Amino acid sequence: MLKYTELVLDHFKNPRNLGRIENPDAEATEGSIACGDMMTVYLKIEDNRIVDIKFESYGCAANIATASMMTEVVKGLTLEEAKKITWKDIVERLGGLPPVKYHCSNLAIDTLRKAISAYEESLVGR
Amino acid sequence: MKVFLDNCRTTRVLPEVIKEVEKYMLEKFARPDGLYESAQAIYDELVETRKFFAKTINASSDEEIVFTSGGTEANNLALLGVARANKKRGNHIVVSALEHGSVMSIVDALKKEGFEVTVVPVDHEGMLRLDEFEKALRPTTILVSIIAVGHFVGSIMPLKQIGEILSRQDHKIYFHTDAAEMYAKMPLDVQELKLDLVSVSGHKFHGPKGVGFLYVRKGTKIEPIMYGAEAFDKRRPGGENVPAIIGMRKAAELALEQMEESYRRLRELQDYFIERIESEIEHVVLNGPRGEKRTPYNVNFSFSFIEGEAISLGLSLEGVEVATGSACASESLEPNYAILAIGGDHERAHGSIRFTFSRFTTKEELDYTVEKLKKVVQWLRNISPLKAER
Repeated sequence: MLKYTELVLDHFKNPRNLGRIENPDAEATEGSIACGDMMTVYLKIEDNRIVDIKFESYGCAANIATASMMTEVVKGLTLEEAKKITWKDIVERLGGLPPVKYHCSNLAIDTLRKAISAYEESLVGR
Repeated sequence: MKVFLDNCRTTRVLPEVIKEVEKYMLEKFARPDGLYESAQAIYDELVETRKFFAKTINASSDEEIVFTSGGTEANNLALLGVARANKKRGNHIVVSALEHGSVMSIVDALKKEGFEVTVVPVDHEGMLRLDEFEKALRPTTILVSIIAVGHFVGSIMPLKQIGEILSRQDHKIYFHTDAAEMYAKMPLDVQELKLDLVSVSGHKFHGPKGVGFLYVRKGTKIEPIMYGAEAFDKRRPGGENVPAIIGMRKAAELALEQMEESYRRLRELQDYFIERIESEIEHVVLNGPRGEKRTPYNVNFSFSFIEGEAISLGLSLEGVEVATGSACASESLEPNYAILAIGGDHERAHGSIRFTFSRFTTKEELDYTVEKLKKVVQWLRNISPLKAER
C-alpha cells in the first residue's frame, strides 16, 4: 500500500466541494477511464472571481484528495490568481504525495485550467 | 473489526508453527553438516521432512524435494536451472498469460540469454487455451511452466490435460507448475498430473515467510543457480533455514489435515459472498470462472464507474484489507495483466478488487466486508462523474 499523509487521507475521506453545480459558468472534464483517472470541475464565476467550485472524480485516493485541496485553494481567487496555482502548490499543501502519484495531482490543475479556458472562450463570442 | 482478505499475498503464521520455529532456533539450532550428534540429528530430521513433503504430493523419493527461500527462488531454480541445463536440446519455453510476476520476470531474463518464449493465452474465464497450447509446442521446446491456480482471478488450470499433451510429444518437455495457490489447499499429485517440477511457498498456508520447496522429478537435468559450500543439498548450497523448514512442515501438516473440510466450507462461503455482492451491489462483474473451475479461496469483482485503489483504501479505513488490479495501486502504473488477459478492458482492470480467503475466514467477516463494501462503493459512485444513467 502506498503511504499517504494524514491530510491526504482526510481529504480522501471528506472531500471538500464535492458534487455538481447546476448551470455552471464553466465546466471541464480531463483524463480518461482507460488511464484510471478522470475528473470534472464545475465553476461559478462572478466579476472574474471563482465564487463556487465543485468537482467529481473517477480516480484513486491521490486524485480525489488533490482535487479536494485544489478546490479549497482556488475558491475565492480571481481567474488570474487561480491560473497561477501549480500542482506543486497543491502537493505541498497536502504534505506531499508518493512520487508515483504526481501525475494524479497534475490532473486536478489541468482540469481547473481547462475549465477557466472554457469560460474565457465563452466570453469571446459575447 | 479487522478483516484480512489478502491471503493470496500471505497468511498469518499459526502459533503451533511459531512454537516449532522457536524450538529449532533456541534448542535444535545445529546445521546438518557437522560431524557431531546434534548436527546428525538435524540432518536426519531434514531427510524426514523431505520425505514428508514428498509424500504430500505423491513424489517417489525424498531426494526429489529441494528446500528454497520461497516460491520465487523455487521458480528461479526450476526455470533458470532447467533451461540452462537443457540448452543443447532447444531454446523454447512455453508459459501461460496468467503466470505470477516472478515467472514472467524469469522468462524475460531467459530471453536475454537467447531463449524464445511463447505466452499462451487464456479464455475469458482465465482457463488456459489448450488448442493454442498444443500449437505453441515446437521440436525445440524444452520447458513448459503453467501456474496451477491463477492468483488474481482464481482459475484452476487444466494441469492434467497439459500433462497428457506433453507426454504425447516425441521429445521430452519438462513440465513445471507454480503451485503456490494449490499446495495444501487442494490435492496435488505429481504422478497423476505428470509434473516434473513444482514450486511451493510456505507462507501461503500459514507457514513462515522466506521458505518453500521445489519438487524436481528424478532424472530431470537441472543446474544450480547459486554456488557455495554444500551443507545438505548440492542443488541448493548454503546453510538450510532449518527453523523455517520445520515450521513449514508443521503448517503443511495442519493444513492437510483439514484440507477437504476447508475446501468444502470455503466453497459455501464463496458462493454466499458472490451471491450477496451480485444481488446487493449493482454494476459488478465477477472476474474469473464460477463453480468447480475456480479455487474456493478467491473472489474477484470489478466495480464499474469507480477506481480500485480508492476502493481498497476506503475498505482499509473500514478495517477490511484486500488487493486491487488498478494501475494506480501499482508502482508501474500498469493495469492488472490478468484482467486484460481474460479480455477485460482498462476500466475493468482499474475497478477490480481481489478478496482471498484463508481456512480461518468466517461468515461474519464476509458479512462485515459486504456491508463496508456497499458503503464504500456507494460513496465513490456518488463522487464519480461516471454514472450508469448518463
